[in-house]
Amino acid sequence: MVSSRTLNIAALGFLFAVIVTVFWQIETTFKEQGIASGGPYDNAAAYPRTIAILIGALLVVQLVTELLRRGDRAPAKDIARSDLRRAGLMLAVFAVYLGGLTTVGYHLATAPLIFAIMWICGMRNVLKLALAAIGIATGFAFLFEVFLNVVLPLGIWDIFIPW
Amino acid sequence: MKLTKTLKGGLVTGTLMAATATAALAEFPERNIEIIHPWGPGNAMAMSQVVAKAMGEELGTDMPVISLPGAAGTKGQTTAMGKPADGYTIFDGYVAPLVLQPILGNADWNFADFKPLSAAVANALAIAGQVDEERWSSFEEMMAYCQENRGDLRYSSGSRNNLPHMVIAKVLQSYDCVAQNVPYTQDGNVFKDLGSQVLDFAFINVGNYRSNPDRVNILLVLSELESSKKAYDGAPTIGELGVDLGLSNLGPMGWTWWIVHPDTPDDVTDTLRGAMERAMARPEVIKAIEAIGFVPLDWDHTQYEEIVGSVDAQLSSMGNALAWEEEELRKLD
Amino acid sequence: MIFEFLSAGLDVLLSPLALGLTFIGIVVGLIVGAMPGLGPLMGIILLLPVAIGLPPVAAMGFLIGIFVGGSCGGAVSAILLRIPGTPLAAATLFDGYPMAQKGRASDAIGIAITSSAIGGLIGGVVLVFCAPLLARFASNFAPPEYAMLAIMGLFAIVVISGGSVVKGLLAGSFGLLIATVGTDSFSTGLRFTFGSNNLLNGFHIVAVVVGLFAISEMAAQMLGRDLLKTPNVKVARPGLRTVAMTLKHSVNLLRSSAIGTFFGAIPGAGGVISSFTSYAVAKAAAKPDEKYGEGAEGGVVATEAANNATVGGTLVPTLSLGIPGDASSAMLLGALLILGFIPGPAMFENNPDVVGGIFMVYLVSNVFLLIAGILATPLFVYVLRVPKVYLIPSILLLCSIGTFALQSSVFDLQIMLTFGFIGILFRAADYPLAPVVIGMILGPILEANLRRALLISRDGYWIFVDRPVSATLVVINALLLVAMVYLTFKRLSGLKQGELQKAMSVEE
Repeated sequence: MVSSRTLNIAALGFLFAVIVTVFWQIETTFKEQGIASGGPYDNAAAYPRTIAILIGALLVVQLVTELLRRGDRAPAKDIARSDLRRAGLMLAVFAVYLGGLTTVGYHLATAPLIFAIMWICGMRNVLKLALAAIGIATGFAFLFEVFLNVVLPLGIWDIFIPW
Repeated sequence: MKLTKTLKGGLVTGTLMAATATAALAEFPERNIEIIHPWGPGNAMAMSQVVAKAMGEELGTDMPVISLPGAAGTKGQTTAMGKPADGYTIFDGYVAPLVLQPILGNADWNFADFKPLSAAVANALAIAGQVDEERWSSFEEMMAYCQENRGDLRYSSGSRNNLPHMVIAKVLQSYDCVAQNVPYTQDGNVFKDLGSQVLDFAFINVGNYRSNPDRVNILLVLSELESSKKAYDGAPTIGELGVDLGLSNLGPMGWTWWIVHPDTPDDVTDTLRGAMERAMARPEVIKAIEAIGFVPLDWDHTQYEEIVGSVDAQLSSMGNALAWEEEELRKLD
Repeated sequence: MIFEFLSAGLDVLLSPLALGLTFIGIVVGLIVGAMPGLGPLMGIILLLPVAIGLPPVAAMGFLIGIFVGGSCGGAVSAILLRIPGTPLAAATLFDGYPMAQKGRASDAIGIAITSSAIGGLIGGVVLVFCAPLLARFASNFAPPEYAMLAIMGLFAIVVISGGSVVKGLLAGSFGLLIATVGTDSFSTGLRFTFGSNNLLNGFHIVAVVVGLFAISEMAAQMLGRDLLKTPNVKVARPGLRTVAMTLKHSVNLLRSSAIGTFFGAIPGAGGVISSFTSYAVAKAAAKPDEKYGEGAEGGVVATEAANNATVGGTLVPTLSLGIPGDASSAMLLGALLILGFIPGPAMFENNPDVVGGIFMVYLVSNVFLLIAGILATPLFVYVLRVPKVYLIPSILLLCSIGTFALQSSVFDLQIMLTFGFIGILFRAADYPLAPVVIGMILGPILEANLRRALLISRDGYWIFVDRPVSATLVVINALLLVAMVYLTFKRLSGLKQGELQKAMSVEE
């Protein structure tokens, strides 16, 4: 089980990576564009640099606090592996959906997404699943395409429903 | 096992549904046509929605306008031209992304790369000063003050390196006046800070002027057209200045010309052109455009090369005004 | 004079069309507000083409109804689902969701709607009686004052981050930083775009908010084991008693509405800042036993009264100066122009019936909000009884379509997912998410006005103390800073002793 300290260190690591990115970008692309120095008109780096330094200082404070809390290595929350697996699978399926949306198009990709998430949730009645998946996908499409004139992604096969 | 089967089933049903749906109709347009607008929500977007609505009525479809601001309009243009060339995406081609940014080296296209539908609207700009100004009483006196006090005046053209900035910089250069431009993201705030004497002068459009004609003093109309002079209640125009800026017609103005991807099929383009021309000729559209403070343009696609080409030539030849201003400001530091 | 406007406006208003469309506008607004992704601005943009074909007051009633309803609707999903339907409702989460968890969902929604309506009405009264005066006052706010106000707003982060101030500040600074992505409007240079055309205008705030809150919440919901069950929630019928509950917080209500109206009246500030600020003020002013952050009614009152009062406030510069207070009112301004009216002092003289009509539809729309909102609460609360197996995919889909609709962009969806993962990490490590939102909103205001002020100034940083309003704000900020540092150290030293003892006891 992950301890709360590990999670805290992970968050600190993420924020550290963010400020490293800021300084790296300022040293490279900002300098190339000539916006890393000068007065307020031209210097686009001063403000992000200040914020990054502030984050750096706060990170140190947080790290020290974290290390002082030596005893606190208890598991963050008691989450079973099987529960985590469901959440992870849902995110994975959702990521695949978003990744393929431009290619496949809303009308082909969405029902399978709903189907898959409901399956992950534990529903096994295939007929119910299919009906719900098609119903939810089409229902929302109708709402947005007809009432709000949104053009949902068509995919490379140009698939749409002329309501 | 079960899962894949159902997935397949779903796919087949979906495809069938869609296939029958597409086969049932064949004539363009079969669905909504999107207009990509390169600025944030506001007057200009509302104006495009008026034209889009009328054009959609002509075509028998809806034409939602999508606001995609960023990088002086080039983000919108790149996005629009990255969509399939099927006529279902139209770009609201403002002068900034279409002509100016390529001249400044910030975009790799030329206006002639695209297929024009029709000219839409133009917007006459002016330089406005404070109402109770005591340091000068005319534009030329202000320029004289500016020459004596180099770098002292503060003005705003809205964003940096936009069309008003370029025109104002050119005017200032011809008087050898160096002033500091202060970029703003909302035009309304430029107007507010001019009124509260934070800025010495600023660009203004007809809409802002007409909301509060008593709170600003129009020093110079950045156009030589009679209609522009009238919109600003007879204020002096650049045509009346003693200097030749090399700007005529649409040159110093903001305008938009709706365009589509160059590979759009001809019949589709023709359908769109006809619809847009009919929409632009509608009295209620003309009335709405004028109400916002824009000038409706009635050039059709055959005049695109000539009109836009002339703007392109004019702006190209004056491109160094911005560089000149930066250089002079740097010297003052 | 005022009453002439109002009576002229009343004549125009009292048509079935104007009243009906205002009501429809409220309903549409509530729906687009409650759906994650879409908010009042998108509602107005998407339905503007419908409005411009209507008679002026009916058209404005429809659009203002969407604005008012949309500014409140976000609270519904914040309370029920822990997902702010719009960034405006991000601060409503603090107490709205805990209330719902304690079985008081209907009460929370009722209070949110009542506070919104009353806040909106107070904003409306200010609009009617003090528009020109307030507009003149607000025009004294120039870049130096905006920069100081933005700094003051950042102090709110310290107050609102419950557990660890340092974590709150880290999250807030992260928000400030992600707001710098895109084209820098001063140098026109590109910052942190990594060559991507899609990042030229930075991250869309809605994509970030939906990702941070909604995606991470749905992932958290997936951890539950009761996904297939129909939740056995008892839903009390809301009613007029929530109005009474709200009125008990009269001081809070008035104060938050005043804060909201103020931030609305200065162009560019907006509802998110006003709701966070009034929440911070309410929390700071509250007695400890009110337990802000654990389901205090006052917390919902503060944020919702403020963000709807902002709507009234934002119409002040829009109508009296023709300067839009925010993006939504910029669209209203465009609509007014298309309908043939030029907002500004002249409109008050030339078209008193239209000005009066707009005042009236605004006031009426807030009354309609109360009626429609209270009537619809049982429908909203019904969401709590939907089994999660249906709810989770539906919400994910709504988030996706709503976020996609903003700019017709699949890239925004990828941003949403990315921030979903960041939200999950932050939650797991116990970082508050709301400061990211306030940081992202305040960041551009702070940076742009700081740089603008320095460009305008002829003698550097002195501009901040040379101007009276700015100097006052500098002093207030300095006092706030001293107070915060003192309190933090006091808390920290207390904490450290506790930590030390705890650590030792474990070792023993």
